[in-house]
Amino acid sequence: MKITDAQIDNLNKIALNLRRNIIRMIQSGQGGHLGGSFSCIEIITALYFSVLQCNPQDPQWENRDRFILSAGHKCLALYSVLAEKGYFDKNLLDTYDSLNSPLPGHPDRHKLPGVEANTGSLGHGLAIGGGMALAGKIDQKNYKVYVLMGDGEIAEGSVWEAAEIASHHKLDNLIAIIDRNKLQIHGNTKDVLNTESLSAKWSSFGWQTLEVDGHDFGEILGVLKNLPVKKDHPTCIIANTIKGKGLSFAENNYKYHYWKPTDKEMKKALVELGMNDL
Amino acid sequence: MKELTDPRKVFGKQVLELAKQDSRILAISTDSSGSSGFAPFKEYFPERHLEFGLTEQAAIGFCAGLALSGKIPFFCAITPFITMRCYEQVRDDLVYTFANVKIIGRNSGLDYSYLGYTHQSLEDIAIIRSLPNMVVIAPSDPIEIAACAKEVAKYIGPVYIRIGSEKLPNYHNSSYHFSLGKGEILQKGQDITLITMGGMVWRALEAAKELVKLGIKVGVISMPTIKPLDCELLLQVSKETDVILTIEDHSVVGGLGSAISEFLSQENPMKIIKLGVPDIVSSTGPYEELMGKYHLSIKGIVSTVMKILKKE
Repeated sequence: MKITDAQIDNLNKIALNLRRNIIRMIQSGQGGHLGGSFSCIEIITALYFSVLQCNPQDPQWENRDRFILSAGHKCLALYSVLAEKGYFDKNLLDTYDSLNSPLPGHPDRHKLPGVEANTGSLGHGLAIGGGMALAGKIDQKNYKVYVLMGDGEIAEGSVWEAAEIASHHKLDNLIAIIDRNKLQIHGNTKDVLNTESLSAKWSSFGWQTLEVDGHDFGEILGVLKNLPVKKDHPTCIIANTIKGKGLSFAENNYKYHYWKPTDKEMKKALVELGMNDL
Repeated sequence: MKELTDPRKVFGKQVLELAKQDSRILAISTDSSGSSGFAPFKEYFPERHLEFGLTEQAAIGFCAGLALSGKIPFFCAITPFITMRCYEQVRDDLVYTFANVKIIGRNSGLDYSYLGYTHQSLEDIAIIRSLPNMVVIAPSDPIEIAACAKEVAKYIGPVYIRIGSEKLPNYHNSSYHFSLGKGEILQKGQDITLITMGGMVWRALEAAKELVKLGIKVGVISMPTIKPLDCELLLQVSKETDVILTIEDHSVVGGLGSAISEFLSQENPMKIIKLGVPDIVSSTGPYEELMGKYHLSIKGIVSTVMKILKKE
């Protein structure tokens, strides 16, 4: 299916709004995991606005596609998209990180509609998503399960256990998406612990592996709209991204993994994202 | 001699019976379906027995995902591997998520007497019972194991069940009803009351017979649910006996004895002695000899009681 320019324009507008929602939350909470939340925005926008079969009015609809944010610290991106889709009132965004907020520093499915799994500790989401995919196979349902991980996260051994099980059980309804921004909390992923070569690793585990520009809707949707790549095989999409994408001073800078903005930085962010006129 | 039954086989057979009535029930193995008691399940329901190989961490995550999609996974494996190796997955994926998953630690305590510390499990109750909303059960005989499986299947939420591999006699009769969170007074005694769980109960009962012969007024309480504790029963017992001796094939750090002490130290402080494996790296050898080394044999229980009561 050809993706039109108009569709891409629309998705770019939504992505900008999602970034603005994140800044709004960071203003309320006075800090947040900016870098990874911004690097995965196009992926999450594409999923929620062009791919996932889901219903904000019925978040537990049993045939829904599932999205698991395994890299739970990127929850600002998840909260942002769920608000934009109408899972909850946007005013809730202003409670981010306040006492007993339904929007804590890592997502909690008991607190917010649309959150599928309680993540935060890295390396858990692929197995949880795998279990959901396996249940779908057992029940002969058509839903798919999408799991977003970071490229630092996949150093966790539990990821590879889950990858083996998914492959063995032929879960072609399970899609791992790696937000490969090449940075993690303490620097370059290749310096902290080199997890490359991602493509060769996932392929050798029996996954169909594809690489896309994680900020290019044409490329992202070109893959997401044509799944599974191969029957009986899970798919791994390696999305090359830029950490902090969308804010000039934060792009490709690991120091903005978690951002506690100064007044000056916040002013600059508001200007760059066109928020002063809103 | 009463008939002896392997706890794993009883449990696995009961899960199969439950699965025949409830299509949501699945059996999960990590390369140990046979020794986890799931061989009949696997044969009867090959498509509902899921084999995950040696991946205990991811297996817990898969169980959580299955449960969040409406399934009821019963996952059985060697105790340290299903409680300790994947502890964070149990904590985050089952407890935090409140996933309806039943994990069964088998060959618990010193059952792998020859295989050493890696396979013995003396800290599982301590770590699992510290998790909020977790239910922890150590059923004591074949009848209670089957009854407990039925109740656990009805209960919605994560449960940890601890069973051994040492064959057990029945002391309950077939009309016994197991209630989650309830202990059982097997006999009353003012001098001392033995409170125990799992495969230690029959030993305590045998020891009590010897002690009665020696003129000791000994009570015996079975406490199959370690969490939530039967606080009402404990309070009652604490008022009717001079000393409590807790007995467990578990470390004295954090187990049944600790749980009871935590409660009674606040509600009715009294003398509580904990008999279990001391705070050491456990040894190896023939099962009964190893149990004897830590005074967990019938003889060991009798002599411990006599020492406490200064009758020796």
